Amino acid sequence: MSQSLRPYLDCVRSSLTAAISLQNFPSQVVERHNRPEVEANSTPEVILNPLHISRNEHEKVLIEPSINSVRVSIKIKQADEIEHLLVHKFTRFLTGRAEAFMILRRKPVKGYDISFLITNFHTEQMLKHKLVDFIIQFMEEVDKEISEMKLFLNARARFVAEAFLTNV
Amino acid sequence: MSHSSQSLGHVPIEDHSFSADRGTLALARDIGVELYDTSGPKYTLRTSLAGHDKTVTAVDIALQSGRIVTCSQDRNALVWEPAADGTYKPTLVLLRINRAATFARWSPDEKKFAVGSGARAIAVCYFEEENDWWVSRHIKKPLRSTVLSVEWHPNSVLLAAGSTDSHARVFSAFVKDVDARPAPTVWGERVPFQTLCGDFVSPAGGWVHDAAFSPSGNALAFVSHDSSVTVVYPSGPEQPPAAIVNITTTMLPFISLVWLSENEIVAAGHDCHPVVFVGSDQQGWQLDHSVDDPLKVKKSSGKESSALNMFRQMDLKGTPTSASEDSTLPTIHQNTITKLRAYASSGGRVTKVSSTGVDGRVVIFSV
Amino acid sequence: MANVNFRRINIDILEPENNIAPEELVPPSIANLPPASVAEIQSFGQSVRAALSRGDHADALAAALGNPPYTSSEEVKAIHLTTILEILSTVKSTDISKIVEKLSSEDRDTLIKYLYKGMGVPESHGISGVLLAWHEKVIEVSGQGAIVRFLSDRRMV
Repeated sequence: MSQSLRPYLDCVRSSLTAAISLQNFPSQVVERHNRPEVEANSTPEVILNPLHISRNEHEKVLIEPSINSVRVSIKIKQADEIEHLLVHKFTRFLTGRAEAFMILRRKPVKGYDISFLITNFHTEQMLKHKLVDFIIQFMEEVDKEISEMKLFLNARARFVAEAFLTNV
Repeated sequence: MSHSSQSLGHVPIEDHSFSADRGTLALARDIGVELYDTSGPKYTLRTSLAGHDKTVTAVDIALQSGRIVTCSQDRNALVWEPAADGTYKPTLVLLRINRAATFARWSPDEKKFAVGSGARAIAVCYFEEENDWWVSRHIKKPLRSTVLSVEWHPNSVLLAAGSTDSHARVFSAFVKDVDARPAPTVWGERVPFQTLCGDFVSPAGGWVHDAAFSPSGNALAFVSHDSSVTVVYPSGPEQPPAAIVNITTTMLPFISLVWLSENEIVAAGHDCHPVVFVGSDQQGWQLDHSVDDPLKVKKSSGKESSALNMFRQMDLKGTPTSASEDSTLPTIHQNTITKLRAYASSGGRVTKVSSTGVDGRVVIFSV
Repeated sequence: MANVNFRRINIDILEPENNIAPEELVPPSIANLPPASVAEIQSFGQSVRAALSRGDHADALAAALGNPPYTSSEEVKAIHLTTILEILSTVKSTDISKIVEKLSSEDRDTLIKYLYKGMGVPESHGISGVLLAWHEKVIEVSGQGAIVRFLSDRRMV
């Protein structure tokens, strides 16, 4: 229902704006390296507390910040088996083209459907509030896309079945 | 309140430094340092100093001698001597660190400079005459993590360091052959090298991005990642401080701060505009006002919202609203401000601060 | 002989000086706080429920947020979390902004910690709407500074 969607997206927006305060940080473990600390996970003091935001047990967002990178993982609403399949295919399509997205992570974090990795190099090239806008827009539209795909799937299946089963 | 701004490309600027007469501006950008001529309405590039392999993290011009120190993520620091014809000759400094160097500053008397590094050490470097090179001595204990910033006390002996282990510390960097014995201060009297004179934490923790002494040296202020500013007033050596004032804000964390006078501090960071705090040890500190406040910028009236315009926008951009209002921030800086430095002062108070940020702009704010 | 392949041991992570262990990150200010016992927390929960039945929501919330059991065991922390979630769900949605404004700034920061912890726990999925409403009101007053403080604060509730 849309009345709980607004507060959920506002919460994700403000949490993400706070977590996306990134800066360049050279690795403390290997010399001359500069890697996203949330992925490397080798220096506990530069990794911050993760944020869980959930709307119900099927839709949640996990934001894991650190000093130079943020990992945002989203679990998309999947009410039945068909939606489960559609979400899987849709995210496979997106993650296969992850280079074009720049901030998309090729494998989602365990327990979630899709993950983004934003580093300080991305926030240097792109505006932070537009990155946050993109993620919120993605969350709004993916639900619509999945429902649309399910409707078309059912319509095609009905058409095919009618054509096949009607006595000619 | 006029602010002058220069947009110099889109490469993020890690650090900047003006010469004493403000005629030259050194910018640390990517793997090189650029020197700009500031006379004239637009800054023009004079020379580029190339000598580092990885991102240059700090640049500082010594005000009297004109020497420039730069340090970078390739574990090196270079001291550039100005030659008569305007070029600079680099000298490698033996820092002996095995991780990136993150910050470098000349001491006020310009005989030494301090370099903070990811090797959990601060290298204090001075010039050794008999061997004609710069040598370093390390401050290691009790640093447990990368040093994010180092700032000198006006007496050129004490050093304030902020680090990612959430502590702001005051060390003594007294080098026997180079410094004369300093006068006793509230931080300590006899202070051999590497003495820890103070160790402070903000209540909610958070990495200390910048720490600075007040103009008299009797107070220390630091900004940490819990979006707060803490001011410490020590009472004497080996005693608990007379007052620690912590101001939490509703804004995003600050990365850099400058003392304007004994009672005013300006800080800037992820919110892309500087903010001024006012206070003292008796009355406490509070947020006074924002410079270049985004809330006060009047929204431009823009085009009339006629139906024709809306359809035209949809045809051009795919969305009914014009995208240009949304893609720029209302503040002058379009991305995080990474460094603030004092630019001009009058009557014992700093009146202008220069700032550079990730968006490649140099702005001089009047505060 | 030892079964471990000594040539492949990573010396750097074993040396204590090179790393900060996650336990050492806890700030010194709460290191000496005595841990609360399960009985204490449960009796505190009872007194809070009594205050709620009297209709004293603001005081109950302020008392619960005043002394979070930072150094206690996980069981104690879970019981305290349930107490706070009870208070939050019994407050009427129109009263939320008034109560939030009356809280002190540290209490608001602690409330944010409990809201995020609550949303991470599976049992609270029924009241997510309530938690999101509280979150919105607290952010209106405390701004994003409160979220940033939650991120960097190592004192876990």
